[in-house]
Amino acid sequence: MTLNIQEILVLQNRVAYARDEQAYKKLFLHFYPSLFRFSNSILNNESIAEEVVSDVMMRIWEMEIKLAYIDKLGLYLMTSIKNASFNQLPKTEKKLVDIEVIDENDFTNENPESRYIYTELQSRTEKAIQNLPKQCQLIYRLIREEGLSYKEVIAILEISQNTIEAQMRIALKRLRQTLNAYLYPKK
Amino acid sequence: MKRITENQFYDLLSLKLSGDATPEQLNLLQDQLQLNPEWQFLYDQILQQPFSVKDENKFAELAYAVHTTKMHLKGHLTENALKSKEEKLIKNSSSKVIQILKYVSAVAACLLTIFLFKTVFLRSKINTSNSNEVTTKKGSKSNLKLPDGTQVWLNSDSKLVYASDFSNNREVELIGEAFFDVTHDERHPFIIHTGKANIKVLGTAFNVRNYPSEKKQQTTLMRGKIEVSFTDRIGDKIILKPLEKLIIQNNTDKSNTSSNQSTVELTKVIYASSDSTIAETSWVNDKMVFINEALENIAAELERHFAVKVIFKNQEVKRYRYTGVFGNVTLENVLMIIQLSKKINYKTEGNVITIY
Repeated sequence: MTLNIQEILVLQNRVAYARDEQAYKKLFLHFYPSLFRFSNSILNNESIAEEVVSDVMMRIWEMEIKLAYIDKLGLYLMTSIKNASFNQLPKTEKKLVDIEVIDENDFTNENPESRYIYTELQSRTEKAIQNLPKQCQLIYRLIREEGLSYKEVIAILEISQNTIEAQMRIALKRLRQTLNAYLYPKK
Repeated sequence: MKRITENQFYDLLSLKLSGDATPEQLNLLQDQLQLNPEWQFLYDQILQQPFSVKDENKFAELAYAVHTTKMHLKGHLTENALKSKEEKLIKNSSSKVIQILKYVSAVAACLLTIFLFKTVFLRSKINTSNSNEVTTKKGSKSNLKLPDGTQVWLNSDSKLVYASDFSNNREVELIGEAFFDVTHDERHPFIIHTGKANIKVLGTAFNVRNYPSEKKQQTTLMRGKIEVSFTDRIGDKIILKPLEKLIIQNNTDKSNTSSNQSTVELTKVIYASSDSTIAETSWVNDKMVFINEALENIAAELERHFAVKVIFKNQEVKRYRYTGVFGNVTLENVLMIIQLSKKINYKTEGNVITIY
């Protein structure tokens, strides 16, 4: 379900003042996919990611009238998810350090747990993205997958424009290398 | 036209992806792509939809159903709010029939058969002199917090037993039905004993249904992971993933005591999209969900929920089947609605309903 900015504001108000459950449900369904993806890309754990999103959305209901005063709900939610997700990581992982290589099999069609269907190339691309340094990966996903603007990414991750540019260069270069390896495999 | 540098290309592409590129930048990008087939290929790969999501909306709907359960457990979406919604529906009873019919088709895709066998008895594993017990009567539910912070919602006519030194030994016994939201503690596994199964919690939120009078025992996982092992099948273990359900039935035949093993079935939860309700935990939201359920079993559920007694004078009617979702309604309303679907004759005298 996709809503535009005006519709979101209307629904926010209905939830804040009229405690309208249908309005709340519409907001939930609209935001859930991207919130879940974002949380999962930080945590790499679908179960905990679901819990994090549920807790954040619970707070949206509990804040009652204060909800009406939130200016950009999408941004607010993404920032909340970011903070809540990082809080769930074990202490050692809280800094944006490199993650280990992820098993390529996690992204194939043979994995029944996967929610997504991949071609061979997409599978390699996804693995390459997963192997990026954490912050680099998050920036790439927010820009490419969530379609956020630089300004929004700056607000959510609390980084500078220079950082975005530098990290996007790293990400795109890595993807280009992945594509080359696929097209011209070394024998 | 001169070729831009690799980094300049990445900068342009990045701006394009974020929607921040100016018209001039977009034009420049297009020109450069024409000059460089390799860059064009990268551009195409990135811009195509990265993955096809299987039923992403359906995941969101299911997530919402689980979420509302948690909301209700916290006391939000109160009875009053639900009551006024249901009353509006009942005033126009024909619309309720339509709701039931629509629900049937929505659920048909998720529906899986449930087999009925014999009863399950509980052997006490917990030292009764050193334990606490919580019981609910028919017609009421209870909500408690165990010493480790785990929340338990106990349905009607149920009993939960746990040891006094619970924090060191997180084991409980359950007769009846309960929904658990378990506190994470890796050093002390949370284990639930029912007659035929031991349920070890690796995750967080799930429902266990183990009424002695029912012929089956069900465990439904909402979130996290649980491992079920069996008292009469040593070594067998099943791990449930979210929204999966395990049904254990006992194959005892009174005349044949040698083959006593229970049969076990793993299925998916029953989900009603029109109502965002998961059937197995609808009781937590004060709803009742029946899917092609025999009147005999519906009557047992009504007895528990409303603390009444149902007597069947007509044995054939026991096998009539009904499907529906009932919110916070009165017993009279439920009976009226059942009538709309398939007529039965009944008489109410105090707390006794006679069906003839």
